Amino acid sequence: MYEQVIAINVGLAMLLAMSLNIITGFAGQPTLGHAAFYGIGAYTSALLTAKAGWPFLLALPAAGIMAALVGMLLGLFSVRVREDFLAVTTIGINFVVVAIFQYVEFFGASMGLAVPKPEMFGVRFGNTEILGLLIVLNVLVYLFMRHLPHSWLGLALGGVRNDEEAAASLGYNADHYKVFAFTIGTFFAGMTGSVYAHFMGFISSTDFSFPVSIGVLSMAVLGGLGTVSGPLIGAIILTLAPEVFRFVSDYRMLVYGGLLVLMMRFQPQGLVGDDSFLQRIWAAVRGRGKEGKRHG
Amino acid sequence: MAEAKELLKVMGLKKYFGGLKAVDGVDLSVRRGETMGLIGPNGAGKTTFFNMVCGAYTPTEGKILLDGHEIQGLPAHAVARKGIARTFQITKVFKDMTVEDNLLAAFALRRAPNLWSSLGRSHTRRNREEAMEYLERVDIAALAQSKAGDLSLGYMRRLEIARALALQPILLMLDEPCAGLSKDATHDFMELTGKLQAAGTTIMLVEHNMAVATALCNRMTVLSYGVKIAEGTPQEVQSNQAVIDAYLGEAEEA
Repeated sequence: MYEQVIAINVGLAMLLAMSLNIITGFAGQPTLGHAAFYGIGAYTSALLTAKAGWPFLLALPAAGIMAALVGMLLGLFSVRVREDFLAVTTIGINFVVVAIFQYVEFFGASMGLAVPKPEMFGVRFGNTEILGLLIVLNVLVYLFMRHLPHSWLGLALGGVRNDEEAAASLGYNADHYKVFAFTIGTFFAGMTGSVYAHFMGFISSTDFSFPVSIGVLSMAVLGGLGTVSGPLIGAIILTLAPEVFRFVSDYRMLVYGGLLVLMMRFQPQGLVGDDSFLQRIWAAVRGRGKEGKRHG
Repeated sequence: MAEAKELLKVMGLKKYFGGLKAVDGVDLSVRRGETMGLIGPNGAGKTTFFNMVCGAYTPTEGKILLDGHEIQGLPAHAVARKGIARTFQITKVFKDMTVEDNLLAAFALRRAPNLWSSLGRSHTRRNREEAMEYLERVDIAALAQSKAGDLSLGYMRRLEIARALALQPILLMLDEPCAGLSKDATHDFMELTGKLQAAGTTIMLVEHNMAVATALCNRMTVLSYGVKIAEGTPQEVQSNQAVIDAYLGEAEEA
């Protein structure tokens, strides 16, 4: 069913945007290669189920763990790297990972990998089950994101994002928290990759190329980096837009790129960030409503 | 038992940047409950010295003992955990966070000591109430829900001090806390410091302004060109010829 496939794509995009938001939004570490971890999760899950005969139920968390391990390594490797260099490093990682998938025989090389349809508790997964699983994962990750601003971790990441020296003066080891953010964010991305692989039934390296990373970043930026609900809104808008408007689908990269440029220039806080134009309109509408009541 | 009175003891501390001897063998001690001023003309090495004690710089040579334990060369976050809280010459509040969140961030050291416990909830009623107490101590409780970046410089300084106090440090280090403040704000700061002193807080203060330092400090150490040229009560230091020369020299250059 067409609507179901769209809903699945939205669900995948929301998970990716939220996972990127932990690293780039909350911890303030630019990452332009998020699709690499999406891909690592997808390939891990595909290989474990197709070649090693693992059940999907185990392959799903394993995909997350594998992506998180690589994410943790990237974090450990890059804690000493300044922000702009980190952005470049993550681009490099994306290309390296895609190249490995593309050229190494074990990963199917240019032929890609066929992924068996998953089974869980005796139920063979069709699109309905995949959608159900995505809803569960989205709810869980969303609850985590909602908890984050009121947790010690959220405060620590806020400290690291604002000023590492000041964070250190409060006893925070900034490096530890950066690596932790990378680990959590890439874990979620890896799980999402697993779901993607089993939904598609076939994966190849280009599914996880650099433009995919830019797409995910555009979603988070559009909605609002560092906000709880912004990345969800960005993911919904940018996944639905190509379905609704033909030109968006034809010029996808132009739209993503243009959005990044415009948002950074005019609304760096995103659609739902502090003092965004949407928030101001909302405040104005509410203010007028109150005034109306007073007079009425 | 004179030893036990010394909370911080610095011996022969040196920091060389290439050929530049920013701090060249300074001894200093801070006694429990006193306010020690570190003063000197621009470029005397005050901030370099301060940054070594806080862990921002690794000393080239020398020892720093806090409560009898060596802390020289520890990274800044480890020094904070040993009980030294600091403020910054250029205020470093977490600008995109609320005043309350800035304060709560300082509780993690006591309430969430490792990565796993950091997943716990920070905004509990108890923590938020405690945060308000610290904000009340510096008279900015009414601004708890404001963005820290929207505060005036004077209020940012107060927030920074409240945040430092929330660490419950055994030594509070203030780096030129009055730099850039208006007369009123400086007065407010001195009043606040008076309250902290009355509560028994041990303070080390880097100050360029001689009048502020004189009013606040029990004792002073004067640096010039990386070496200690005088030490004693504000009165003793002010009548010291070497100190007068150092400050006059600066005035002439300026």
